[in-house]
Amino acid sequence: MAIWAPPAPPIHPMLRPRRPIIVTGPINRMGAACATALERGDRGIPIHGNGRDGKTWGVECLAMNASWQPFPVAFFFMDYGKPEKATENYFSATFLETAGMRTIRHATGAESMMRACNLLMERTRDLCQEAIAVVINEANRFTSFEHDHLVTLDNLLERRKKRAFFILIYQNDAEWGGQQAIDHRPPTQVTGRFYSMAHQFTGLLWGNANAIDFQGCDVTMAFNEYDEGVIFPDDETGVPCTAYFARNAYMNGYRLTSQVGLFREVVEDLRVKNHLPAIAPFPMQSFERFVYFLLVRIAGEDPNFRQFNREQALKALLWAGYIELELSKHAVVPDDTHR
Amino acid sequence: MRWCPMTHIADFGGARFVGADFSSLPGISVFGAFSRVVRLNHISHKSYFSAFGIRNRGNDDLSLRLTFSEASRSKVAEALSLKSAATLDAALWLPFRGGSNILETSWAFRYCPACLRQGFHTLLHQLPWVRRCPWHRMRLLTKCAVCDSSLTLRGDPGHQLLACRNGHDIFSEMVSCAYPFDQAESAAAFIDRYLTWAEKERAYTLLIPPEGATTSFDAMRNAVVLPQALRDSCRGPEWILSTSHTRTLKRQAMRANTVHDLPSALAKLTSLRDEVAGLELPPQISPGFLNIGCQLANRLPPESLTDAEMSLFFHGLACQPNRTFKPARRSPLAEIRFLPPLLIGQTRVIHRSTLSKTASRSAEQLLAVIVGQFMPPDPQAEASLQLLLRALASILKRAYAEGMRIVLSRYIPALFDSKRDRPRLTEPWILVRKEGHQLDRIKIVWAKRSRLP
Repeated sequence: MAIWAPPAPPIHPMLRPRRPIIVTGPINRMGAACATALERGDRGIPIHGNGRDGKTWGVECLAMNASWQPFPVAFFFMDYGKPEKATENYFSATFLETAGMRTIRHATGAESMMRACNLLMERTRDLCQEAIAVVINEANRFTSFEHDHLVTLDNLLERRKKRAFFILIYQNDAEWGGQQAIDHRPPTQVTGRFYSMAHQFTGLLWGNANAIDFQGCDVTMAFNEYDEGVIFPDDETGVPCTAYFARNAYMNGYRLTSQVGLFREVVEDLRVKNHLPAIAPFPMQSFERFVYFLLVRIAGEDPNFRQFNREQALKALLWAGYIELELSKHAVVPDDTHR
Repeated sequence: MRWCPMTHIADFGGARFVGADFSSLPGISVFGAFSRVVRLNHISHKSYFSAFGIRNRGNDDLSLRLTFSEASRSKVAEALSLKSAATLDAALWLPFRGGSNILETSWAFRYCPACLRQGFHTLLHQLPWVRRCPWHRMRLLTKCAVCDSSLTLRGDPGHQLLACRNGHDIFSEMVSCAYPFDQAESAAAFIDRYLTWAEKERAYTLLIPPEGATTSFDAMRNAVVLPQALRDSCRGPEWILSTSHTRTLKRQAMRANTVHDLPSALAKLTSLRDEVAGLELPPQISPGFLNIGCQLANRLPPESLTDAEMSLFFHGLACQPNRTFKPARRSPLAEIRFLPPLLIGQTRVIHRSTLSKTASRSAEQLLAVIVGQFMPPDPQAEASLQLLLRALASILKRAYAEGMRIVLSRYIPALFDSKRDRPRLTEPWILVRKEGHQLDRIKIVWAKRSRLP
């Protein structure tokens, strides 16, 4: 029996299970670093950053935009596990499975690597991209063996007149109790290929105390994306995200960017009360949840909304799980978490 | 940079093997798809079962198996999500009904080097009447283009599929995955035109293959004539020698020489279906048989036939044996005495053992397919029956001539040295074209038998 469902009315992106990515300062900086590495001829770049800062979102955003790319680049994503034995077979099988390829029993490591190489060649055929960026999440799990596999893949692609560019995402705080590093210092050929440049990905920077301009303050730029972007339902008749949820206030000139000062104060107060340094980058995960709560749950549910007050901002910050995330980055967690 | 909707970047469109997106490879054959995927995914023969669900049997020609074995073909098609009817059904490529296994009879994997280099093979290349790749204009090959040795078409350990025994590899992995098929549009257009034509022809044309056929390829190469628009692109080199002989009989040509009493003439030939020793010849066609007998008897070397045997060939006829005839000094043989069309009363009868078995069976089949479908009072139907009679006569005369030479050669070994009368057997491939209930054309292709049935 066929199940028929009436066509659903369009849902605002903020109300969907997967909320939209916005372009932020850290993403722009990561794009610039990748562009430089590509331009130099590097075969890879490690991106270091703390968990929930938005590294993966950032790279996905780079993949969807071509404006930062010095030449056309195809993107492939791979999530790496933690094998007991880092064989060629495991490496290539992970790569192929991420791409939805069927596993073939009895395949040797070399055969699977060739298959992975052919896959990349085929998927970049139609748009003729010569550079192929392979994004590897959890590269902090790499040992020297995986680096050898990257070298193999790089060599295979080079022989087929393609250029591999490995974006290795390192999670600084992946291990319990501290940072992890690869077993040994990589040999020169690995460093020369993939590690001659590194990029530190951060959360949203606050900039100077009075900086509310887009250049100096990532947070302001990010708020502005909600004020001016996320047009719904469409580009011609739609309105930005802030206008959608706070219609009257927006018509009276209200913008999220106008309250950056208040939000900063609230964040600083909360951090100080929890024995944390007053200023720290705003992790993307917390920021995105913070904005969601402010717009959807507060402004969106209050028809008389004019602007946010301190209590509302604090409530949104706590709802976003900001303080728990920030406390987890420090070795000693105070017993009296202030909420 | 502006906001953009969040999508999953690594969306690969559902194909589960490298090279398994066949949307730009029109009419790819199941073996073509299989070999392409095997090579691009580096699947060894040991993994055929896990990848496709088919067991590798060492001696199997995979191109043959994947074209004609329903079970293997459907398993591979399922694994590779092949759904195109042209890919799955070899019969759709034939412009006639009734001969779906003719490609199997003398199968040899046939390819265009430029297409196979890009991982493309289509059943169009297997058709005997297509001699060149229509879009690359390259001659179709069955052996290695470099050293003329056989290609590997089996799951052999130590040999790459599609490479030859000397290691020359026709297939290019690099070209197949890095570049789109260079003639995708021309190929799609040609295949579409061809299949449309073939479908139309199938509605009118029926093939009657000979029983125990041995030589379908050469015969079918001459049997099917493509329309001009298609023929120009796949015409082969003119120097290819053919051992087959074609005769086409048309209904339009029949109207001028009307034969009377057609139904009774055909009724006499229906005894072909019965297990009787003699075949009564209708008077309309008996002169042809007599002529064959007389001419052959006159051409035989001196002292081949006795006086009594020779006189039987000329019994009741106005003509006489050659003056150079020298009788053999032996007693008459019963087997030779049965060779001439015997005059019994007013009718001529030939002994069934004189007719080549394959040809007489074909005539019998033709008769069975056609007879009973016409209304004699209709002038169109009369022309059809006349065409049928001519076709049957043509088949039986050849069957008679061949059968007679075979019998005679047992007693006259000198016949084996004769270029013209050497004993040989051919098999008739009959293409019957009907329009409505009327016969329009009958084409008979006589192909030399490659072996005895």
